[in-house]
Amino acid sequence: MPQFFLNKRLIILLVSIIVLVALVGYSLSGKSKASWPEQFVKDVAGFGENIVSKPVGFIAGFFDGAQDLKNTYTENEHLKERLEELAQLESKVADLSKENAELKKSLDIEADLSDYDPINATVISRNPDNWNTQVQIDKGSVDGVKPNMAVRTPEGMIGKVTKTGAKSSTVKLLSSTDDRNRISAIVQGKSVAYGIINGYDAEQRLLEMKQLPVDQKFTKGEKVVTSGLGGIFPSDIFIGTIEKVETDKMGLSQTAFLKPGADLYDLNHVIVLKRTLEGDTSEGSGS
Amino acid sequence: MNIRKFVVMPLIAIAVFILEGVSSLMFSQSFFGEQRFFIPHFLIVMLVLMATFYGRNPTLIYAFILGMVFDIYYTGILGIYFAIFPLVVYLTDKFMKVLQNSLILVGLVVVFNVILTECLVYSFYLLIGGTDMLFSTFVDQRLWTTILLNLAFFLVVFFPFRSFLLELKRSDGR
Repeated sequence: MPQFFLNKRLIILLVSIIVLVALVGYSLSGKSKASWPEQFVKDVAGFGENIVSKPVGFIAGFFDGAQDLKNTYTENEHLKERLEELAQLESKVADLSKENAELKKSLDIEADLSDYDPINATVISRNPDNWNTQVQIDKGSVDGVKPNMAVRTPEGMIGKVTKTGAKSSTVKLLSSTDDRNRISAIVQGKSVAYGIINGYDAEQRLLEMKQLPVDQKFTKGEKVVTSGLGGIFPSDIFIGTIEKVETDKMGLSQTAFLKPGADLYDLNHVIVLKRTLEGDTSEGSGS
Repeated sequence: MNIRKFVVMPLIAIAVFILEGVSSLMFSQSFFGEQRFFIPHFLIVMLVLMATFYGRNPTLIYAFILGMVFDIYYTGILGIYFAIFPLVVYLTDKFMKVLQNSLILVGLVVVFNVILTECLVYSFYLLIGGTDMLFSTFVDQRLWTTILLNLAFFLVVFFPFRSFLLELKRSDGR
């Protein structure tokens, strides 16, 4: 028996397995605050990646621009037509927002769920193994980014901030299949319905919206936005459009499959949304 | 002061590390956007070449550090690549005791290690519930395309990197 304990290799193997299991357990515990060694590594790696990624992105953008030049003429024609409608719409929006502000003032409402401060950021790298899809952005806690903030592009929501370093942070995309990724959302159809976005169908590339009421009819193309009721995200961020609806296994609720509004595979500039109205700041992962 | 050992080699390692993240961002549409996934495992290719032409123990140090940084920075789950990178180096060293270090045989070892890595990471995510992909789908959509991409990278870097590593070894006095 002493022979067994003297076997150096075996002991090293056992100890390293224990260490690995402990590490995996630690990182799966869902803490949103990064420990200081993690912070340090994140900051150093983020700094190096920033230096490389910015010029590369610039050159890639230049070639994309050259590509775009080819169809400028037809695009211009099309845009000119839209411009006339836009002027009309603009004056209408100005009118409405003025009216809205006045009404809010008369009711003593200061901020509502849809208000947020935008923080502009650039994506610097993407997780190479495509299992839990997350990207790194170049803004961190110094710029006011905090865990659990929503992140969007002009086309729609893409995910939420999970961990922050000083000058870089990690954004978990909607396409990552993590049970703790939950977003409270509304279907803006003929009648409003609430549900929870949880899960991603990787084969069809559609988001799953669960717990929709079973007696309501949904049609393809209806828009889904965040509800802001989870306490962390602002409301009215566009997420996607309904592609199809299925009744779930138990027959008690419906699951809608959404086509994400933003292209999750072509990310460049993103906006981190800092909700103005302070919500539930406790360390919850649901949102 | 040995410039090759203390400056150029770490710089190459950092460059390959950054290349993985930046290339998967720049080519994310073509790497992951279609039905098939091309996963860059350039660090594995680099570690196999280093273990073959340079030596086991210094490569193990690189593997540990790179694995740790990779986990913290890219995947966010500590321990996966931290375990796999040193394992790859160890296995490559064992293989190279019996194999010749020619282009074809080292290429086969690279393919073996990429398959091993992908399967280990896949089974890990299956275990923790991070994915619900079927094994047949995994092989069809991910595995063989990943092998092709990394084999292509291997063919591009094999000769220049080998000559660099051999000179590094010579200047190291071993």
